Amino acid sequence: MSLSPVEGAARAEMEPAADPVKPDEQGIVGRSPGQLAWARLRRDRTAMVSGVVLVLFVVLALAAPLIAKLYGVGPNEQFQQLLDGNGMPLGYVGGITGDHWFGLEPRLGRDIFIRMIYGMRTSLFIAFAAALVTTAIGVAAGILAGFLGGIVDTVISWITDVALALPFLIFALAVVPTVGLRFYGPREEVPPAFQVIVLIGIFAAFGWTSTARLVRGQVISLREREFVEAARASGAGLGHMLFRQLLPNLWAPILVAFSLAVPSYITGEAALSFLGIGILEPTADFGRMIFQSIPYLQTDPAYVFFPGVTIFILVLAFNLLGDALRDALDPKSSR
Amino acid sequence: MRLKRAAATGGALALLVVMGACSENKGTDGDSGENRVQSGSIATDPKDSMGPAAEVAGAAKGGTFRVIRETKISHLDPQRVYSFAGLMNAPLYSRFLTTFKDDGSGKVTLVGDLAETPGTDVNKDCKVWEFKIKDGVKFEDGSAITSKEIAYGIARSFDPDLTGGPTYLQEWLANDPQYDTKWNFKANKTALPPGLTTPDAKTLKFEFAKPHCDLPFAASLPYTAPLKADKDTGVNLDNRPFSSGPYKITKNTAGVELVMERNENWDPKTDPVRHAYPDKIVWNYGPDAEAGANRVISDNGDDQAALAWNGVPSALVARVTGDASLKDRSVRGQTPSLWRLTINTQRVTDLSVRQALNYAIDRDGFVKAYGGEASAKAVTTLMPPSTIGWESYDAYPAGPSGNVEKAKELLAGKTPELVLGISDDSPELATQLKTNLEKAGFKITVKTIPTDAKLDEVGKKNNPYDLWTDQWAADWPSGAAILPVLFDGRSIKAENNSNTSYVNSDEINKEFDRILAMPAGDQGKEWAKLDKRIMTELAPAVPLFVEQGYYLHGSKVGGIYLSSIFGYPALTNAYVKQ
Amino acid sequence: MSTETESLLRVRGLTKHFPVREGFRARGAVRAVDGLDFDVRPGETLGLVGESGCGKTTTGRMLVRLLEPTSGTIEFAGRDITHARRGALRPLRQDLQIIFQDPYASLNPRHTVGRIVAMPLQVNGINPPGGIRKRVQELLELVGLNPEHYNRYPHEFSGGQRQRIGIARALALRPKLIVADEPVSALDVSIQAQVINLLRDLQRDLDLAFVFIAHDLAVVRHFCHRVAVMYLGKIVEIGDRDDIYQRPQHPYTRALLSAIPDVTALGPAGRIRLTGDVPTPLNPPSGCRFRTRCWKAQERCATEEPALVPRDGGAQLAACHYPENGPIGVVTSEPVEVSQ
Repeated sequence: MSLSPVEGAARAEMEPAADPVKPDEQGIVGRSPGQLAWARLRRDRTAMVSGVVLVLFVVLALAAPLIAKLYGVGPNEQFQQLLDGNGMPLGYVGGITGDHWFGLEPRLGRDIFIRMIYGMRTSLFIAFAAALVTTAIGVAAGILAGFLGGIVDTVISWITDVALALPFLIFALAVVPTVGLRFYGPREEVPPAFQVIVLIGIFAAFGWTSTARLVRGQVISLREREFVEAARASGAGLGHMLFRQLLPNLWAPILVAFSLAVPSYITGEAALSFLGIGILEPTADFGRMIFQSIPYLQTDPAYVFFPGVTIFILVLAFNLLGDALRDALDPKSSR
Repeated sequence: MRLKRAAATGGALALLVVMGACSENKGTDGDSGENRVQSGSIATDPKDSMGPAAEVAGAAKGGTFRVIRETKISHLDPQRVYSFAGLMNAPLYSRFLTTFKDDGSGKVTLVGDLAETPGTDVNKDCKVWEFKIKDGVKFEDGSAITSKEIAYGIARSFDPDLTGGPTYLQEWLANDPQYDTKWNFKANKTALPPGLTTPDAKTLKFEFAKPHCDLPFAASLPYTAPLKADKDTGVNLDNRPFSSGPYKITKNTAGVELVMERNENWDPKTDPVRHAYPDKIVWNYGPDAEAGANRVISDNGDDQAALAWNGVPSALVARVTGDASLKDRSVRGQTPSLWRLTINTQRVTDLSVRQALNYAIDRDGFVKAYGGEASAKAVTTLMPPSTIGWESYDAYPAGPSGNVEKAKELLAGKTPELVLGISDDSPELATQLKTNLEKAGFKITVKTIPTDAKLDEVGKKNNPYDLWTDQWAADWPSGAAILPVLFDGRSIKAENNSNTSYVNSDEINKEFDRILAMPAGDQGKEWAKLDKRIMTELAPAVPLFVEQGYYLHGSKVGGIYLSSIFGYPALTNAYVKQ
Repeated sequence: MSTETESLLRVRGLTKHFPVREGFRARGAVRAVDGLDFDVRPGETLGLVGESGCGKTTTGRMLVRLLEPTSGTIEFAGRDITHARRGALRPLRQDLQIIFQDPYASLNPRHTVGRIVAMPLQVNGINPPGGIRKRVQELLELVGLNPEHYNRYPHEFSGGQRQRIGIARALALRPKLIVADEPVSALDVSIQAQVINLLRDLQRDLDLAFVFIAHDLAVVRHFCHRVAVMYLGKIVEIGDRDDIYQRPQHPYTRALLSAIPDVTALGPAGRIRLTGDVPTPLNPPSGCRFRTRCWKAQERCATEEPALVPRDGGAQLAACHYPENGPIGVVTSEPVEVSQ
């Protein structure tokens, strides 16, 4: 279907006026750089396996209520009658049975399997949303700073530096617990949805900077290219330049930044829950599960094992996919 | 191929982990350690107050005894000691007016420590008390301890800079909860607070405006430890107390260790309870509960002579109870620390709702959520079993898992909306309560309160919560240190309340006054009756459980017992096997 | 030739200084373009030649307003467009277009060829009768490409083909004048001829005017009606192509022409060697800027800047106090080593 460049050049050179074309004939479709990248990705086995694993996790997470119905156990149901006097699960390996595939939590006796499904839902939602928001903000800031230069660049770069200098953890520890008090009275419950939004907000406030820097650098190198000047010479306005000319060339770094941001937010949210400022009881959450399970390493290792392994697989799959994506989108081949 | 390798290592890890948990858990036998019945008496015969203390079987002199604790003891200054660790440590380097003879069996006898007897009620009205101080009692520098030094110690407890300690004596002498407004220590260093006099070097006299028959008990707390005026370094005494006991502080590195060595000037013949078996006693700070317990379990080197002060955390209980070799090294027993679900009666005004809560509560589940039977034992009374004269009763019999149906009946279709305040370090307890109570039709909203602020928040009269958990341990095993403190409405102030149910019943208040005026020995039964009456008529709280102590020490340690008064390990009989 | 009154493009005193800053303080300026005067008539090609760094690319950019002139005027079709705002420029953009040098950087790698060529139409909201696609295919055909390839991507084409795409894009709005910034410098010599031929055909068929910027005099001779020679930001000679090539008056022009390799001539070609480097545009030499490398420089050259005026009564203008007046190949005075 496609001519080799040399052949095509020779033919074009020698037959300046090619065959007369019928106006309604469908043109031959070339392979865009995006399609080439997708083909390369398909060939990478690690990427495909990671992709399948991730899709599986996402489907499980989205279908959490359905799974709870089929499984027969909800995430907040307690089975304390299946615990011994010390609050430890009866039976083998932390209480694994046909009814409770991953066993029970000590003390409260909740089912670990269904709590993990729900925990995955929470974590994935927060991670994706935070990654989306930070990428959007970062891209907007980076494009404006990179393209407009001058005072706009100076101001945005200064804001970026300040945001990078602020200590995220200290800020989070100071702000997150008190934000609920501002919006909800002393007798009102802080709903989980609000906690989720606060976490996304905290991540967004600090996470956009690396994407902004990345995009700004790319834009600076792109804006001097002659196709941009050609657009300006044709009378293009700022909007066209940014969105029609520059943005299509930025997809590769943006996509890679996004795909690596998601796992970092999964672990980030788990870490905040570990410190007690993430998602609170009784909503299921990976980080809190791991935090509560570590003292039981000697006495109920299954309790530590399941959430630990799951978050490990999840983050590993994302990282492998992100790396493969970066390789597939290698700019050298987009020539 | 990296995928295959990753899968293989993952599988191997999984197998390892799972194998470790492969034995079947068949459950526990419900044994939570010794169950002792508390009984107490006051020994008026001076012979009972004389030393030396009875020898501990198998004890040997020598060695270094270690105590492992996560954080440092907050106060060493005897006038400022009130934490459990402080209270168990203070007898090693200080002596008090009176003290308890205790062997961990629950039978305690109040005797004179620096005093020859536990005090004389001069006019038989509990308002005037006299103590005669023993001869031959000395400080670490050899100087004599007289009534003057003990009086000085009590006087300096009025100093608002020396905060932290109990306030019974100060409030009783000044006859005012705001005692430091009545007498200014700093301005009157050479004088004594009102009502406290030293007619001579051997006599100490208390005169109160109101009768306080519990004075002998109140005098057993460390704020009666003596101090010479020229050795008073004010707030710095907290780092280097001046010893009147068998040991003296030789080194104190904040956050690292506290070292105590023998005080040669302590005379065992004058001391009815203390021994000085180890040459040195060291507190090692740093390791948390898990780390401390694991160190003592492995029993290596110096840890063989160590006690893990933070106890066996509930996550490790299964490991320790399952190991027969650790049984000799475990110290278990009940404590006087009682947890209750306090009901804010200013907001929850309907008695039937409060009673419904008492029917609905699943104590079994709550104990499991708290850490299991090794850590807690369900209780249905307002006073713990370790109180002298305690009687068991259940005002709202509902079975160990509660009776949700009965509760619903009582509510008669209502669904009260209640706000439960919980400290942010134990959110699982809130989940447990919420799930439990909502089965009975309550609608529970959970609010988390920062841990260090919780006590202050619920102590405010106008706090916004309906329910929260409270914990109380009496300072001496009498109902007098529990029921009037927690349920007398006349003590309610704007902040810093102990009566957090905010009940105020004139009839019950009159009962408090009546029983407090009785001789200490007769009060026990009356308090037990009043306990039941308060629960039945007011239902100001839902009693939950009594904390159980579970401690582990190394193989070379002996003589550790759980104090019948405070429920924590007592160190006065500790020795190191040679 | 049309008369001067019908000039399509009229440039007077065009200047561009790039300020050199140390921190915030200006410490002088790079005087890239220092007072240019020239005209382009409709359908005429003006070649703008010179060494790299002489300011010709900067001039090209200023003509299409990609750079703002520091001073001077540009008049197009009788209207002053020197500092016109974007709104006023819009209709002008359609008449003034540019072709770039680098065929690899001048096309957006993420756009199909069709989209690239259609871009000027879409940006200006123009919908030609018959549709944009038809127009794009017409343009592709016009520049000698297969119109069926409009859905292909730039990476599938050779350098020469990409340049054709750039030309097609420039033609989309039916401009009257195209600034061609070294359009063939990055191409193989064999392809260069093809593209130049294409430009010449287009010029003839569409009556296009060109400002053709190049450093290769051989190419310029092939394509331009008139030639202007630039040195260090100034035009040193301007005139009809034949006049310039056969009777160059300015010593610099002579030196440039003598350097053209001529495969037909045998033996030594009488090459004039210029010694020394081009002086810095930050601080150009006083008087005649070429004097530091000129073999016939005199004292007057240092003190008095020669004006660009006719030196022999003809239409050719030269900026030299001592212009050459013989035909090319004949040197009127002995070449002398000139120290820097």
